[in-house]
Amino acid sequence: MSVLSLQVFVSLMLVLAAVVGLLYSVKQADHEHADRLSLLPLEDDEGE
Amino acid sequence: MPFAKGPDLLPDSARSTRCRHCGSPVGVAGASYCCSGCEVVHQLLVEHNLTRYYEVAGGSVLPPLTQDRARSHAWLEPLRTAAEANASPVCTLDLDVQGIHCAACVWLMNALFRRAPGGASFTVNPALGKARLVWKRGAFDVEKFVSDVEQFGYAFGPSRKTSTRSSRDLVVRLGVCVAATMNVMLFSFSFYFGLSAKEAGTFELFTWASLALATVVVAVGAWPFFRAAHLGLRRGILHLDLPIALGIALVYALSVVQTFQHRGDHAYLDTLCVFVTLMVLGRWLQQRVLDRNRRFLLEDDGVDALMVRRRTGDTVSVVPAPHVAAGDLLLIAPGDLVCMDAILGEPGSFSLDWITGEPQARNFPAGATVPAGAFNAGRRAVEACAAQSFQQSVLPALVSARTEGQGPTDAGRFFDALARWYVVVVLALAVVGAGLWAQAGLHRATDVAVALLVVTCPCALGIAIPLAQELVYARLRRRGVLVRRSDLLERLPRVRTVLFDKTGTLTLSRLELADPAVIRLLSPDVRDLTYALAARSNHPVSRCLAAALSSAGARLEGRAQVEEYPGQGLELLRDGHRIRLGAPGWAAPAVPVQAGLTVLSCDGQPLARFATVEAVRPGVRRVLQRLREAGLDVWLLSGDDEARVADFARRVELPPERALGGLSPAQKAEVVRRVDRRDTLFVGDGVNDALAFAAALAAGTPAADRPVIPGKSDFFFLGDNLDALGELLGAAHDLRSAVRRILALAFTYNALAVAVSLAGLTTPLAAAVAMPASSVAILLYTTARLAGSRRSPSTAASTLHQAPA
Repeated sequence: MSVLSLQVFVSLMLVLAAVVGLLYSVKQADHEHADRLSLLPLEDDEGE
Repeated sequence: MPFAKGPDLLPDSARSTRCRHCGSPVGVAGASYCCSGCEVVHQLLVEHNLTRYYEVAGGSVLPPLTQDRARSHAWLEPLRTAAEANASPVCTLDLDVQGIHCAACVWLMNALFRRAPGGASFTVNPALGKARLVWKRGAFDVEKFVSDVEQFGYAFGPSRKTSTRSSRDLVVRLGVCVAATMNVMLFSFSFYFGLSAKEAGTFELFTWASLALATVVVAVGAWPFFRAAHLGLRRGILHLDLPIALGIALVYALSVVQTFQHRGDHAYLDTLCVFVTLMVLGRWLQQRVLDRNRRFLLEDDGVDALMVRRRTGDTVSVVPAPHVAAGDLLLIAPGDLVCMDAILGEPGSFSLDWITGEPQARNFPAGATVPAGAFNAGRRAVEACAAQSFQQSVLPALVSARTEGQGPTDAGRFFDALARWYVVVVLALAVVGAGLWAQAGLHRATDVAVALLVVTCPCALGIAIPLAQELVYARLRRRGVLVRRSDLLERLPRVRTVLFDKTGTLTLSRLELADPAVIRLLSPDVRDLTYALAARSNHPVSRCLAAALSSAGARLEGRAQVEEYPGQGLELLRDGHRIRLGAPGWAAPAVPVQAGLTVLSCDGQPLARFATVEAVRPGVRRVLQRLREAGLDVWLLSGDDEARVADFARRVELPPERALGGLSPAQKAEVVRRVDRRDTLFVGDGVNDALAFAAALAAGTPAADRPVIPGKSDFFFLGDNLDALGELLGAAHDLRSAVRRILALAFTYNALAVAVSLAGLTTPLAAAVAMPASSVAILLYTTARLAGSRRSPSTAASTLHQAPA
């Protein structure tokens, strides 16, 4: 029972963290930034 | 209806060939590109070794918004000056960007930024269409960077775009609902797999955790439905959200009661959460593509966005056009808009196509008055004196002409009525059901009423139709047609009259040879000689000739001293001979003067004649013919000269009585009002079309790169090809047909579900399972029906990857 309670608590904290992350992202107006973020791995090998 | 399928407008040969840049059908057999913009941008990418753009894009390229004239950056100067005014070693400037559509656009802009010296960082927000530019003071040329990027079909503007509160609001609500619903579903699995009250501790924990999360979902996700239902009731309107809100409230209340009675395994919290999440998802889908399409363009800030260079003593300042008074001295740079009638202090070349539809730039001598709405088409800045204030000019009325407030469409009224009746019928059925089962006890009667409210599913109106619209918007967007107004596709099936502007709408604001074969008949010497003159001028006739000669293999001689005589032509002195390319009266006086004729002469003797005509958009004849075959009345309304309009009508096989030339903006609007039975579509590109836009049922433009008009249009399309219009009309009919089928399916399901519920053959729990099952089924049907015609990106991508780099 105590393990389950802990797991439920952790699960709910994860939900809360996800919601807080979303709120922060929306506030920064970058929640639809997938296009830019998907390019970050490419930036290192752009030797112009 | 001939427009049942948009792509059928294309001939097979043109459909099988894809544009090397964007992958769209080229529209013209034998061509490599669908439009000149794609050709220019493809060549630039190859030239600058940026073909990785195609790999990053993965086949999702749209035709670019290239401009025929230099774009004015008058707005940029005060912004850059303000950014550099602080004492910090780095300067920051926020700009809006037009034309971003995928990750490759972001990559391309970043690649160009990295090549520019002195830049510190460049961050693009493609969702909002905004960019933040940071540079080292004095080490970075902002204007050059902006011009470099704009070559590729993008446009920068002052930072005005903001994320709308409603779109942010729905994203947050959706995110909270999804996160909480997933956890409620996990808790519910344990009940489905046998967790019962025997395991009291775990059972109670999971029950209360589910209720807490469901409370969050109801409070956050269902709030818009409660609010709309409440507002509707206050105004005496039965809104569609009323039964949704009632159903949510009842199911939630029943689940709370079950939880307090320690019967959490009999609560409907998982179903409730999924339902609320799906409803919020439907609302968000409805809004998302339209928001993206609107953000694709720069914000239209009306008259305040029009800037003028005003000269005061030895300084020139950039001020908003309304601040200019009659008598102010102006400096009109290349690409600048003349915002009020102005008397020139020196000769200049101005394009009037935006205000009158006149296709070719006109030369004005010193002292002449240039009308408001003209653009400086020359290569140098011209001094002028404002002959009137901005308020006295014709522009404020045209720029401020409103196109909103068309009122609800038939389809809109139909859905409103349907929603009202749906609400009345569902509520009545719940009361009837409770009454019929009252003698079986209050609990049984409540069960039947709740089952009726839950099982009757408004998902056709709430989710499936928004999804269908989203799928159609997305399909059109992939094909370069961007819808800006949510009710456009409901209005388009009503259209019975289509009215076109000419210059820039059916034509391409550039010239082409009336008989391309004339180039092949030239001897190599004459061909190279003509090229030596034409290639050294930016005049539209020269550009047309140079392109045709270059394609025919003409070679450019290393040295040639060519003199350009404005309004006359070009002259080259060689071996004592005077070679001229220009108007017949100037180059070869013996040749009769004829509109559109250019002559190459040697010492006044004609060597070759070139007749030029306005270039017609690919697909014009085909689309006009199909429109007429579909029973639509097609008109051509132009501000251009009547003879040119009549000639053009002959070229595109339009009856002369349907082609009207020499019309002022007010006359165009008057014609639209005369023929309009709330069934007109106007397609135009100039500010002289603004009043006609306001008079028509629907309006669109191919000129997304021009000021003012895109902001007033219901839709705009990219690329040169007019087939986009056929795509749009076809999509509107596709959507209407799909919506009818969705409604028929929903009616069938609801009728069956109500009959079963009234017979007492179902419980709220069974209803709670049936309702989302029907939602999912109808969503799958909608997706299969409308997403089936999606073009395979891999086809376009594979073609593009083979392009020479």
